[in-house]
Amino acid sequence: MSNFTGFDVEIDLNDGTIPIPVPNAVVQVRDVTNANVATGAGAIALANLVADANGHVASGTLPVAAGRTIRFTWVRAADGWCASLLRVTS
Amino acid sequence: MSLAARDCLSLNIVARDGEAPVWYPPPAAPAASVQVWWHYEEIETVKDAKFVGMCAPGGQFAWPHNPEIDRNVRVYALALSADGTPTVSRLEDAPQFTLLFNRVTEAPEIGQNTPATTDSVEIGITRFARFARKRRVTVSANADMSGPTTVFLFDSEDYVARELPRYLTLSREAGALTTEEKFDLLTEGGSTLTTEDSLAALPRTIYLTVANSGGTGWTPESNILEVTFAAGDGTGGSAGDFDPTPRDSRNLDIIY
Repeated sequence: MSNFTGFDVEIDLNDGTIPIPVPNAVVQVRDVTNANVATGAGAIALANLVADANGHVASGTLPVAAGRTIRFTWVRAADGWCASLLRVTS
Repeated sequence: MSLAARDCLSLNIVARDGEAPVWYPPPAAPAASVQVWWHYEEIETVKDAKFVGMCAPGGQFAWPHNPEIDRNVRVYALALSADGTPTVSRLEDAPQFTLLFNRVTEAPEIGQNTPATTDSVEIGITRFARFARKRRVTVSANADMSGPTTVFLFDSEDYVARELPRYLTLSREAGALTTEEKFDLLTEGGSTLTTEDSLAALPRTIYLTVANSGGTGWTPESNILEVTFAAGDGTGGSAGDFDPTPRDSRNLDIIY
């Protein structure tokens, strides 16, 4: 097991206004430490995380060794908004 | 146009519209306070700038100004942020502007002072403040002052106390102007101001106007004065007794 720090899921309209949090966002989690960047082969899917009502995903643990590179991904199926975040577990 | 995936280095999962233009914060914020500096133009530089004061934007300042200096004033407004950081590191880079001054706005009045001779005529000038620093004399052969024959410029730098004289003498042959000392003038004794240009002789009848300047711009032209030089036999010259000298008067008859 290893730890990751919490984060928010937000939509930034890029107009100087404060980014809009995405409540209850479903965040996909993948261990991409050994993944092929071009093909994606080798990525390991982990259990999804769910943000709270403020779009915040709390710090927690993942069933991987420390030092693994994790990609968190959010996609809104309705209109295609998407974002991702790379983190290294500790 | 491509669909591109890039690693996001932010602390959060942030979705952005890739087509939206990049937004930057406003490049400037209102100043918290302003420093005001000033110096005279021409005779001083920004290194001689004097500190007036500091206040919030919209405040007012006052500082002593000596009109005898006869120079416009350069003012600098150095804006500071709330923590005292100036917008520029050098004063010459700060927003600045020139305060123009003009202390003489009334058109002077001129008249012929003595009967004209064959080659010269004396002109009196009045209705100007002691702060008048420059004088422009326009001479024309036409009554409407069109096509000036010549234009003379005088600078009070040439005179004691920097005050323009109340008399000038127009010489026909040389086409030059001279100033002569009068009993109550502060001009240099016997001083003569002559233009350097070699001018052709003036026509016998001429028209002239005078304008003064006490800073920026000229006053309106004075009344148009018609002057006729005397003929070769000394007759026919225009007459005049215009006296521009200010003086007090008192009728002794009413003193008991």
